[in-house]
Amino acid sequence: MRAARWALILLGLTPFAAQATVPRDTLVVATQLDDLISLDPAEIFEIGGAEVAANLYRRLIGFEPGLWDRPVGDLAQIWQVEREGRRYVFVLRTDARFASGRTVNAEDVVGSWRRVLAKDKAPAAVLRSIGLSPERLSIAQGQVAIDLPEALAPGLVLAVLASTAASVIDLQAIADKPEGWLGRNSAGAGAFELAHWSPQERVTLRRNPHHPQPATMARIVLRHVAEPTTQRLMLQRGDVDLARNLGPDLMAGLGRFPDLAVAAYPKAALYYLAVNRRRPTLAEDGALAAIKSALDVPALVAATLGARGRPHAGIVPAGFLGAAEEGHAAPKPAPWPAGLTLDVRAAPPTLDLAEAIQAQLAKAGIAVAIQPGDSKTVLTRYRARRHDLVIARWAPDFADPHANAEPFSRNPDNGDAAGERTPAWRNGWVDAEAMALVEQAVREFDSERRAALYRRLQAIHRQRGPFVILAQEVEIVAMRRGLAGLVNGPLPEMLRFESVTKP
Amino acid sequence: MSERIGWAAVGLLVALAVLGPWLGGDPTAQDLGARLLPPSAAHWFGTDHLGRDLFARVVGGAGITLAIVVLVVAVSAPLGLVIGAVAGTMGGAVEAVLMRLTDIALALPRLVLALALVAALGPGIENAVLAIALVAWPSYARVARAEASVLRQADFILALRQMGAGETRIVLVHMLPLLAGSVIVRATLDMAGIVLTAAGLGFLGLGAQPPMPEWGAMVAQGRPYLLDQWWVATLPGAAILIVSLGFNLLGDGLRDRIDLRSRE
Amino acid sequence: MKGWPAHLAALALTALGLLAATFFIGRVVPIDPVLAAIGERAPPEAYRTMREAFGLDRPVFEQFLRYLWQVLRLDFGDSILTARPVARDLLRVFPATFELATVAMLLGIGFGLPLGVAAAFWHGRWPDALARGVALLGYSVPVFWLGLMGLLVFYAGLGWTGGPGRLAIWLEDDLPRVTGLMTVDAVLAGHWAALASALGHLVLPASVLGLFSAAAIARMTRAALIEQLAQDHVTAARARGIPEWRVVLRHGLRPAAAPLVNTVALSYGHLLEGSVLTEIVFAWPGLGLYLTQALLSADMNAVLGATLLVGVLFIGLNALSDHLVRRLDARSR
Repeated sequence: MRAARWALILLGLTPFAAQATVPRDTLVVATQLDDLISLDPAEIFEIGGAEVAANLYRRLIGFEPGLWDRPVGDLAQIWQVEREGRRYVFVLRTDARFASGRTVNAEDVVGSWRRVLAKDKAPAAVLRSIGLSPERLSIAQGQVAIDLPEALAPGLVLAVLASTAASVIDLQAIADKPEGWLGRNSAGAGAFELAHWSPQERVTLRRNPHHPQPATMARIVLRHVAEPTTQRLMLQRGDVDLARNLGPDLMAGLGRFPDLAVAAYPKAALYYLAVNRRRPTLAEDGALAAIKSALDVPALVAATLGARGRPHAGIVPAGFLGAAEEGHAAPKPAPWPAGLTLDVRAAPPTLDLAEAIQAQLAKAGIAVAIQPGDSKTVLTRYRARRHDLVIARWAPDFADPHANAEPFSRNPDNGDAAGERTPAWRNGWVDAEAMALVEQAVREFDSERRAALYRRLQAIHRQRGPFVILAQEVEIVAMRRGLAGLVNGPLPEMLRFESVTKP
Repeated sequence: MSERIGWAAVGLLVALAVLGPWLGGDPTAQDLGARLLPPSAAHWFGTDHLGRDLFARVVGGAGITLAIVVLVVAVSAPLGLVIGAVAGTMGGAVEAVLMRLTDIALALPRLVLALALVAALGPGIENAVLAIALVAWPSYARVARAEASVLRQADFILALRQMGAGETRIVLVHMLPLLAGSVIVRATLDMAGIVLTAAGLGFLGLGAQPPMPEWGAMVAQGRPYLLDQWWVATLPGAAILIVSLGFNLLGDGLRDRIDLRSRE
Repeated sequence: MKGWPAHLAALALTALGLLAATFFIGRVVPIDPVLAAIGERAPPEAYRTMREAFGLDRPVFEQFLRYLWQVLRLDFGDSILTARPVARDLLRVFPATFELATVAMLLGIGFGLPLGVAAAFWHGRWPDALARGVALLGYSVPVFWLGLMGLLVFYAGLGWTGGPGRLAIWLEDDLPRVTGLMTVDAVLAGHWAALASALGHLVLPASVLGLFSAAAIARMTRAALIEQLAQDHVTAARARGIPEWRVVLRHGLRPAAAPLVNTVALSYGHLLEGSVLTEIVFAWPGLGLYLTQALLSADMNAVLGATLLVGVLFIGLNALSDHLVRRLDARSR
């Protein structure tokens, strides 16, 4: 039994392995990085990529933490709006420097945006949503000038320029690099630079020594830990400083640990139930009304999302201009005998939401069969309009109500071969009044009047839109007590590690 | 003795599967006000994250497990049996081709192929059964062929051939019944493996779908609560262990007896 | 014996069967791989270009030939999930699985062999019952559940072992990757803290995974030994007064080597496969985790590449064990 004895000795050694702790100048974050594909601002269209890029790159416009509906200058020191809102001129800060040490200049700004437009991936669509094209960008005396094709609400323009797509890249640093290099490396002026990235495993950020206000932490390690339970385990044992994906029940159990704390960060992402009006069983208005009135949304959100979501009834997220204040109506079950399917991503919290919705609709006599799948399968079915009902999550591309109002309302071609596959198209919803309101609101300069237009739009949605907006996401972060300075705004590009301090 | 424990465990599974609806109650009834309650007199196994009674769900899962095992065996054993019987009886080129196919199938990683197959066909209990059955037949084919190639030389088969009986008739009427016994023993030995594979698929979200109370899926659903509400993931896992232990004990016992008999 | 050309031809045929299987599976996936690659908000023109770039507009047979040609050149295409060549991804993740499965195998032999010998030696007494119990448990326990229980007790509760992953996270950047095997790399770098951490992280998943092979090996050893020890020449040796332990080693274990080698090789193949569920539970960044993530994301290049790698290893292990068994048999005759 010598082998057994050796194994016991090996087992005896392991407690030493488990006792080392995270160094003071390193922040270790347990998170889910499975959607991280590229870190090139011209290619990023997933949340994970935008969150990492937020710490690698700066943009002309940013936000003060907590004031997410009021854009302020980041790389831009000041700016002017000319020609009745059709021309914007930005004066750049002089102290901003890339990780290479070089000072950021106007060529970098304009060149970065042109690069995004030329690459023509998903981020290009964000820049184009305000009419940007290469020839509308220019440089005058070291200042960046934009000439828009038409006057748009300034809040929208600035929100787009604050998005990941508008990140400023060190063009000289990437000039001699091969195609695709920027997808796996960084060349930005953010507080950190990319030190290491192994896909589906780990991202390590290193402090940018040339930043005017160097980050407090020398190193940030983002570790992909798919399972929330595992995240909590590692947090409990001190293997990570911060865990981002704990469910409400894992949070509740944290009370037993005096050295751990919890913080809540409201997000802009919405969970919604969509009803496909193209389906014969769902084409009649009675079916939609029966589904909408059968649900007790606050109860099911409380039971499934818990602290991770707040019941929210409008397509414009709370905290954005024009968010509606009305909540969900009390349920008035109106029987509508039908057998439906409900597509859903087979993971918490969406699967839990689906099961709770299934139970509530059953009480109204609506039989629903859940069809769980991974997110890609669900998306494929949703995009092909092969669903009856689907539970989906939507995160706006930039911090302006237009980012939600347009996709949820716009459907100019309801044919099966249409090019624009917005959520409105996917559910076969065509509403001329809603579309007209979207166009009107985007050109409204006065924010009071603009807010009123969005509220009217949401009233239409509540009455006849094919969506039941369920909840707005709240991110609950569990961390070591005493950890401070994490900035975590409603959009992914508002996650910042630069001023985090550890006890 | 241990075979008797096996019979008891498998008998319990069958009894629960049959009596489940009366015994446990509705395994899908939710009570959002009674979430994650620990085991008590009202809820013997506690409740899960949607307030469903875990005893009802574990009991309800017995039927699903039994159905999977029976269906997989019902699909794969006859398939393997026929292939093995045909190969063993006919010999020659037919045997060479069929056994080469079987060898290829045996040399492939079964779990990984089943995984890939279910992911391709789409998650669900039917597809899980199909995938497990499609990778399980080769071992039956081997067992059947080995016996058939011995029997092929038996006097009564040779006599049948001389009397002019067709090969199809020989395989169907005379061979299959003789081979069934050893294939059934082989299947009993495989059942624990089927239970574990099905539970593994369920755990990955590729097997039975909610709200079906499949044990592997229940372990996965209970995983977020493992640290504070241990019962949600632990009890369905223990159920898997008991049933698969039962099948193993039963299979061992049967094999020992059959082996003894064949040695005598 | 037909000689090595026949064996090689059989191997090639099996490999072709494997390729056909993976290719077939890749065709029936209900997920749009183009959509998975470019995201839901991409414009329709980009969609069409990508579809053509994937060759999805060609006939199926042509796609299969194309796939064969690519595999022959070890070109599995790019993974959608990681946006990198699958071959490079496999090279990156495989050492983790190799390390886990190998340590599991060693633990399996280390526990299974003595247990099997003890069971045969004290046939019908308590070590025999213990061996039988361990074997039954190894065959019956759902590995994902055992892993969860192990984490709960030994990591969360007692704090004896390292947790999920291969190394304490903040050490991961300190260890230069040479072989990809954390223990070996730590020794090469002389980084003893990392070595301790790597061993601490290995012990639990390897034990959980190794239980199955311990069961298989214990059972096989016991059966083979009992059979050997009942033979006449063993009785003769005993009669000559040779100590019992030498009888067991020389006349029992040595002739039992062939079936043992076979069992070890086969259960090693099972370990590579079984690591799928274990890796998920322990967040072990190996082949199993890679494959599962790829499966769930319709990343067919990665799925086919990973399945192919597992399949080739499986086939290779089978062939190797056949070869060894033949040689051992030849020698004992």
